[in-house]
Amino acid sequence: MKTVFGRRSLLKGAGALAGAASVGLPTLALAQAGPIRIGITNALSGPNAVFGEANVIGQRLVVAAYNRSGGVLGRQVELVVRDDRAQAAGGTAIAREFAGSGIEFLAGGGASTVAIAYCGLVQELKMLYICSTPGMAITHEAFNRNVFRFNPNAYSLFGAQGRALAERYPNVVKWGAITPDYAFGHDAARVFSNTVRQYHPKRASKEFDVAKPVVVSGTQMDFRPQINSLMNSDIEGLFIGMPGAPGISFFQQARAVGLDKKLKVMGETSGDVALIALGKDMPNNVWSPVFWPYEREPVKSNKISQQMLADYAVTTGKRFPNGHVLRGSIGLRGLLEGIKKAKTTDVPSVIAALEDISFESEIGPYTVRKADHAGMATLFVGNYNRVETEPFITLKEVRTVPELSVIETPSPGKEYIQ
Amino acid sequence: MHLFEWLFAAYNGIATGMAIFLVAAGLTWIFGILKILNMAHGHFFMIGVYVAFGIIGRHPESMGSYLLGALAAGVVVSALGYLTDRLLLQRLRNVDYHYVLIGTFALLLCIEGGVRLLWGGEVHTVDPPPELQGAVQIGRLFITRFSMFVIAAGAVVFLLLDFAIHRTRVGKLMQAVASDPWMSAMLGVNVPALLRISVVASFALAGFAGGLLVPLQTVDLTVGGSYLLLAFFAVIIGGLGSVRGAFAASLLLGVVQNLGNVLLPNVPGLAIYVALTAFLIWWPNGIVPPKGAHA
Amino acid sequence: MKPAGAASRSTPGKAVSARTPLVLGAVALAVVASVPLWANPGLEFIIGLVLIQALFAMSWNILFGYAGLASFGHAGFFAMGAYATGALLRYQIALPFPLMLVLGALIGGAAAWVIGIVALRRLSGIFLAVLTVALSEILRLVISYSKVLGAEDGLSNIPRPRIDLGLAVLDLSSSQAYYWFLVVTIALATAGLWWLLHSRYGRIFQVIREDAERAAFLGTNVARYRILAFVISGAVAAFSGALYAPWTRVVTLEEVHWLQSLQPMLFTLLGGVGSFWGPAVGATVFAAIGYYTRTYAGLYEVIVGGLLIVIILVAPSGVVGMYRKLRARLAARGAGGGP
Repeated sequence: MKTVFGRRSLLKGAGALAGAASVGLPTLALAQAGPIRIGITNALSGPNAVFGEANVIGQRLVVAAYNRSGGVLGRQVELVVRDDRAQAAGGTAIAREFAGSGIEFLAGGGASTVAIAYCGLVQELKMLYICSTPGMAITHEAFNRNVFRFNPNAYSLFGAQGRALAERYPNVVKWGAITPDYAFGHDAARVFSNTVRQYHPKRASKEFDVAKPVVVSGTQMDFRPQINSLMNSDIEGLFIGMPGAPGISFFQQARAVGLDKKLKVMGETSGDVALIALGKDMPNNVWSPVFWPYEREPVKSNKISQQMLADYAVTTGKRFPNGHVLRGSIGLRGLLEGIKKAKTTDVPSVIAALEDISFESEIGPYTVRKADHAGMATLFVGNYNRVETEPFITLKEVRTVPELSVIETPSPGKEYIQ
Repeated sequence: MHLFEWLFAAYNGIATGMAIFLVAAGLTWIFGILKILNMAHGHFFMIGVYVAFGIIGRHPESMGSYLLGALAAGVVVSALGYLTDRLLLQRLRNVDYHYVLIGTFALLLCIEGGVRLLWGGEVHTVDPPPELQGAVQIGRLFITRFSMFVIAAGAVVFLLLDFAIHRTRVGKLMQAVASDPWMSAMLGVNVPALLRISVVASFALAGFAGGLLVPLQTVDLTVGGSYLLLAFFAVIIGGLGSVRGAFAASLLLGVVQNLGNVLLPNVPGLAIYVALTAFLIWWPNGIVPPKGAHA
Repeated sequence: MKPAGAASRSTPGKAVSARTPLVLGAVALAVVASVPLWANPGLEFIIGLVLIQALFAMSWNILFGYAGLASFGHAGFFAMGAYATGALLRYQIALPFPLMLVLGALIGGAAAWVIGIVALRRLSGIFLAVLTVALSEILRLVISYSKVLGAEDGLSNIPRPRIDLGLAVLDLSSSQAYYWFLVVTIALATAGLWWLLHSRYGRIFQVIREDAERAAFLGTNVARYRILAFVISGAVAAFSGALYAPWTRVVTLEEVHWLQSLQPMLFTLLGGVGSFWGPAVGATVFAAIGYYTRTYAGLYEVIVGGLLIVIILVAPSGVVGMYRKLRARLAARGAGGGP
């Protein structure tokens, strides 16, 4: 999926911008008339590069749009983009360098470990951090006032999915989950199972059952024993918590023995970016999070969404952006709106402005919950079906779930136990 | 825990073991002959996977095109292996083996970077050919046709290799060279030629294995690393240089890994490291120790 | 290092004298110590990391360059020290910081001792290397299940320590202060290692490396000295990890990944295996490459891999080896009368 903003131009852009961020020498504080600089890190190489690059494209498009209409507070916005390789050590070094050259705003983080490391650092560095990973710790154990989360976490995403599927499939009474053995996997499977139990119309009946999730190793790629056990069970609705390549392996192996036909419905975590890799092996009835349903109402008529789509097409030459573009753009949009609202780039003031902000985004109104700095909007759960022609996948149905109805109760500073 | 779970784990362990063997065979052979433990072996396997993918695409039309893809992968990788030998490995023949390990690790990095530049970081899947698709149900076990093919292929490769090494003249000469190259040269054996053949054969095996196993998992950049680790262990446990040992060890590892996941479902992935540790402590030289081994 | 030639004083204009390494060393130390005064905090952070990695690599080289044993799981020791101080500081356990460091080192040394007792008698070479990998992986899995140590998310928000010296409090919260603490501590540790490896022990290690059988015949208790080397190596590695945690303020499973185990090997090879300073030189060069390619996503691996291959083919004795050859060549030219 090479784009014009592909590796090479991202490199050039990043190189030019990073060159501007001094190498090894302290910079003098820039005069207020200079650009507003925002430091971005993400996984731009390695297995998560697809998502990292999409995030960064979204961020660049938002900034370009704001700059076209005069910038923010009369100043142009400048992004300094670097590759953190999804590693906390590398990200930490980059964040410190940003801080040293006077950058006060940090966004991104190519993995949960990076994001959590940033949470622990930003108060020391006096920066404001906008997170874009789905780890729960960001608004719980690792939380502090300098951190904001502008995209749904695992709890919201898969709580929404559990609720949507429970209501949509009242006749599926036996549910189960298979999930990888790390925090995201455990959280996703647990909240899915709990919301199915909570919302299923037949939850009181004797046949209704949600089996305990089956746990697999995080690096496992061979799921045949677990698939064999599933073939021998009475589970009809399955949640698959493995993202990316392991998830695709699962679907591939499941199809080989016909598990996809035995199951009535499947929920998974990656979305069309991953499912498209299956080609003709696309299973028939899979539900995933849809971050940006730009071809469906109400998003289709959303002016901001339309503008983003147009800008995307102009900049990359492609018409079908990956939903992760929005996971980058909404966060940055929120930050810029917060700066506008605060009428200054002074970090404490922007924090105060962001804590009860409400702004229009590509997917409708976006608000922030003051207690734990969690951003919310509407969540979309999409049903992907198989078709006979390229690319073998189509989005058949989208269910809308207001994030407020499924988001967890706030517990900033403490682990969320449920 | 039901009986069928154990049975399936055992079956899947054998299938996994055969896959590991297909990778480990070339690795142990090149060690036996060149005394080089090639850390980049898994990545040459990965090149084979990508080459086969490039040729047969996502949905191979027939058994024939699938096998042809695997053969082509073998040829390409053997050519690359030959070049690598001429340019790099040859110079490392008589050097401390630590340098060899680091040198082949450097090769691994270069291959990974190269594959990423050529094919990108996306994930792909490849189907088995139509003749090998689908599954049969035996009791409560759902056995895919392709896994049966892998087991058969592994067994065939092993028998052919074993025959070649122990029953043919060339094979016996190779054993001689592996055991004592100086003496073999004294006795008139064309040692450099045999070394070259061995190197080419080892890489060809890696590439061919890549092409054969391409429908077994996703095609992506992690494929090199995951197979390397298991093949590495199999070679160590089996005894460096012994194909028979590698065969036994591969099956053992496959079964341990699968049974481990059934026994300890809450700690997936641990069993194999514990088993390896225990093995190393009790049988430090492997199942079939190299001749004159003092390690 | 032996003097390059007694004739240095009587041959005017000679390019390289015996004092060169000392002068170089003093200059390097001065430059390193002055970093907080002129460098961007990002660069200061990376230089601090280089110091820690250099010590880690030197600990690995005790085993490899001196005792002739390869450990492929050295990150395990590093992680033990890092998680030890990380957890102690994070949960605000009331122990003086220097004691925490010692504790970290002791944990590493103790683990090395156990492994040494069990494994070193029967294994060496490739088998020992693989065993260390397996053990390191087991440690990684164990940590990944430990909520107390942060499991998959890692241990973050580790506070920097304050050392109570009775009369005054040494506050190491600022990056500058902790950096200087690092410089002093690592310089002392390096001096200690230098003394050790140039003493009788160092010579015994080297004898065992060269020919263990002959050493045994001469009455050396080979096993005991190997274990000693292993314990010291493990302790120093853990010590470097213990210093690492408060510097980065975050410790994750990356620290115990097998790629982390490869770092000291790469640094030592690049810098020069047969020399005490090789690992430090290698660490610096690698950090420089990483720093100057940091804006180019994805090129790092190919550059590192390519560089390693070049090194192995062209200069297997590393940067220090090249320096020595250059010195020898210049000395020969000087002694031979010159052009």
